[in-house]
Amino acid sequence: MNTREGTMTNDELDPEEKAAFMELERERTPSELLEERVVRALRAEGILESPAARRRRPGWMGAAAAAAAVAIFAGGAAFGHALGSRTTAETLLAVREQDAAQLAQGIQEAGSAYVSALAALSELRVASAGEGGGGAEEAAGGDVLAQGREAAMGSLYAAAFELARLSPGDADVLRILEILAQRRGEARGNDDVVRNVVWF
Amino acid sequence: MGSAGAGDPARAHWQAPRTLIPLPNPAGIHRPVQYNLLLPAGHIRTRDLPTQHIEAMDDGRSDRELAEAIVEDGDEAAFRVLYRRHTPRVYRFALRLVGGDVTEAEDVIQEAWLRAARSLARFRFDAAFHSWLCGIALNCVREQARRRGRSLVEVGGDGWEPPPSVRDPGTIIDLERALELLPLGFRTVLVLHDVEGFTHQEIGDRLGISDGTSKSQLHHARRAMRQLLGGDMEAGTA
Repeated sequence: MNTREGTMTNDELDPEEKAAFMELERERTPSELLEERVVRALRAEGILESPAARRRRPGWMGAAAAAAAVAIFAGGAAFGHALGSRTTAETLLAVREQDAAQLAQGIQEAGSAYVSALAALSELRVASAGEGGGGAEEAAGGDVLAQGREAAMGSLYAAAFELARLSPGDADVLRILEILAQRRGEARGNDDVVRNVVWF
Repeated sequence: MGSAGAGDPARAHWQAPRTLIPLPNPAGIHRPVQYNLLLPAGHIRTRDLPTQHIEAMDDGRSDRELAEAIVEDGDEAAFRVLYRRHTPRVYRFALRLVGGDVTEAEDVIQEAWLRAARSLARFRFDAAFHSWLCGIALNCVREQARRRGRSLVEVGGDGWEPPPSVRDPGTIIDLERALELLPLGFRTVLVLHDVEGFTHQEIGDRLGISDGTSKSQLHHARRAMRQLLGGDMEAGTA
């Protein structure tokens, strides 16, 4: 320490100290989630879209794009409603004929579809709110979004229920199921009006 | 719950769906991806990670070419290449400056990239891209410190004492840990000068202090560092 004090007086690092600094880690890869955070933030700012196209786009085009998105979504919903029963029956039949590996794969794909759909729905909500304007289209879009949200909650509850059957000893799953069941009970309130629950 | 069936109370809550609705189905859902359905709202889902392309993305384009693709086309793939090329170094730099606080360092990196991306069109590549990015990250650290009422210049450097946790004669810490324990002002100058190789003039310019203040801070920082290390300065591996 005394020798170091002497070095300190000269305000120079000795070779050993320099070597210690040289050996310090120079790079560290952060969590991959950070990259996604950054990319999403840049998307939200429009930097990772074409800035030239954005600069040229007049304000009314943004509103029109939001309205079109809502209209397309609502149209898809109506179309799906018409075809829904048949496709679900076919899907269920196909599911029952699968082996365990296929089912596991199916769960993964269905889960991806579920989350992807929710993400798209969320983006649609943000786009609608951001571009704004109000009016009938926005109201219609809000209904569709609420319907989608309700479907998502119903799916989550049903999935938790089946997961609890699959793993009856898993306390975490049971806790999740209880929370969702309680939430559904609260959402219903005291009335017995049949709610417009949707499914896919 | 194990005997759950049609008569199960939990199922009684569940109402059979009545209508069907096809929700938007973004591309790519049929390939296996990772996801976590129960993450809190706003949390990043790992399903979004482009896992199949992470390693294969760097196509050898220069930083300038990537920057042009980002500015002109909003090219996300180009941005990811640039990000992965430079972030590890800037992240290590930021992590060291903030004393090893991962959350704070990640916030710094996010803000630094946001600012860099906004200014990318004006960057002339007269300096190395990573140096520019490190400079932005340093500014973010400074602003973060200012918001928290912390100063990058330590006053009364002669009176600084190591924290009680490391005063025990039997306690041995490595250089990386000692850097974390230094006061922010000491740490910043020491990292910039002794780790990153900045001159006092460069430090003064970047921190808005005089050369003399930078030298004085370095003097106190080195002494504090030696106090923490108890005479042994060994590189950390943390």
